Amino acid sequence: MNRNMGSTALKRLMTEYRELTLHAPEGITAGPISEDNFFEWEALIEGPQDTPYEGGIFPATLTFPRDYPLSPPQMKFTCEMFHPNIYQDGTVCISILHAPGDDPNMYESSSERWSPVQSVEKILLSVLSMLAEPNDESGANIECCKIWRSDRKQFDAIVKRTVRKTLGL
Amino acid sequence: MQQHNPASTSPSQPQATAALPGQPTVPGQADAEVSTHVSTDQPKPKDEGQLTDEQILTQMQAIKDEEANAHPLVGSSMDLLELEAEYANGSASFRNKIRNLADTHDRMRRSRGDGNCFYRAFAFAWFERVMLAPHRPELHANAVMAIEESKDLLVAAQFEPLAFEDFYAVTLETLQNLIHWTPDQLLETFQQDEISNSIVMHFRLVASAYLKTHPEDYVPFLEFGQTMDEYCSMHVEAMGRESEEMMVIALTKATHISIEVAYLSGNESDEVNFLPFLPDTLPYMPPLVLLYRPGHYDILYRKSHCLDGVV
Repeated sequence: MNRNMGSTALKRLMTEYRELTLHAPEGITAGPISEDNFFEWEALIEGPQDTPYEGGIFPATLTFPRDYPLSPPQMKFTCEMFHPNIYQDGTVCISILHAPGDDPNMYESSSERWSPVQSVEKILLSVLSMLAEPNDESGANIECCKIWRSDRKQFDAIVKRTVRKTLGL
Repeated sequence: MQQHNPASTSPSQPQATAALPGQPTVPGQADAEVSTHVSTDQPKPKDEGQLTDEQILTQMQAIKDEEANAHPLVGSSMDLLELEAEYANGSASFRNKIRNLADTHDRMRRSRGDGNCFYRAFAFAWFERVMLAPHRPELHANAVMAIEESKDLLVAAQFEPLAFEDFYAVTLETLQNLIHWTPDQLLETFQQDEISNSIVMHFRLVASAYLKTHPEDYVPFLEFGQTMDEYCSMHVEAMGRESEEMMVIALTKATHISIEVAYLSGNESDEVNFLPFLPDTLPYMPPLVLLYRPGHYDILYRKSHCLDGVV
């Protein structure tokens, strides 16, 4: 019995892609950038209503490891993003993208963590709620955290500027 | 190789004062994986100050992976007295315990100390037992039935098929095929990441499903306020999370397989303590025997089990 490295991952990613195509949650589209490589996906995320991100459509890449879903993918926005839990290079830093024990930002013990029980869909739904409700306890962009905490008007204004940029306005 | 400070890796050990249902308590049970044959020094990156937390974590993971890769996921069996030699400069009581253990148990087999050692040792010991008993075809039939039943348990615990179906399929396929294999082929199969880790993952989900479907028995052993779902997602369902006694009990009961654990602890006695873990049904074969050193499980071979063909 032989299995090539990555065959479990490939099978699982194909299943997840099929499911996401059939029943995409509102505000999310995602799939492989090319059918030749199921380990690199692009996702488009709509800014949630009643948040400064509303109206924006934010592109991101998901990079899957060969041992997915044992290990989580990495997610990185490819547009300018101003958010307490997103690094300036676009890398998303939320608990569901980290396995328990892998704790760069000291997440709360009850926060959702990566395990094979999670999925691309669950990650993207978590990212949607992260956009609506930043968590400044585990910040990735410290400058942004400060502004979010101390000057919400300025925060909203900066975010709205990035929203217009992503729309090419 | 795991972290060196056990305190930092065991934030939620079940209370050592309370015994789990039907089980004795083991004092001083550490939760970090230990192994005696790997260097524990982790070089620090030179320009640590300029790295992001993510990069540091990636580097630390790479170092851990490198250490772990120096040892197969499951090793070839070895004479138990070879283990004694590793403690030549260690405590005398440890050496005496191993020598005493060797009267009744001649061989052992290492499971890699990657946090999955219990699940992997359990799966290998069980599947090997089935394979080495062609004269007892009911062992194979029972095993296949137990794995098939485990799917119902996963559904009952409300896992989505997406979460378990691939791991389940690999585990069942391995079990169905192994009656045509040589002992070497079984070992090679368990040494392949892709298959071996899928089997580990299946048994993790089964242990989690058992705990989630029997919360009344096990919630009292969690930290105050923690739910069984939180406990399982933090400690059972993710790869590399070390097992505690609760997982050993859960897997025993979910698979109807009895386990005996030889505890090689650091106390002063020269005798090894054996702890039985029994399913709710009558065991239909002798227990699988595991060797426990603080934080780590390996497989042990009992002489009276007369397992010819162990490689």
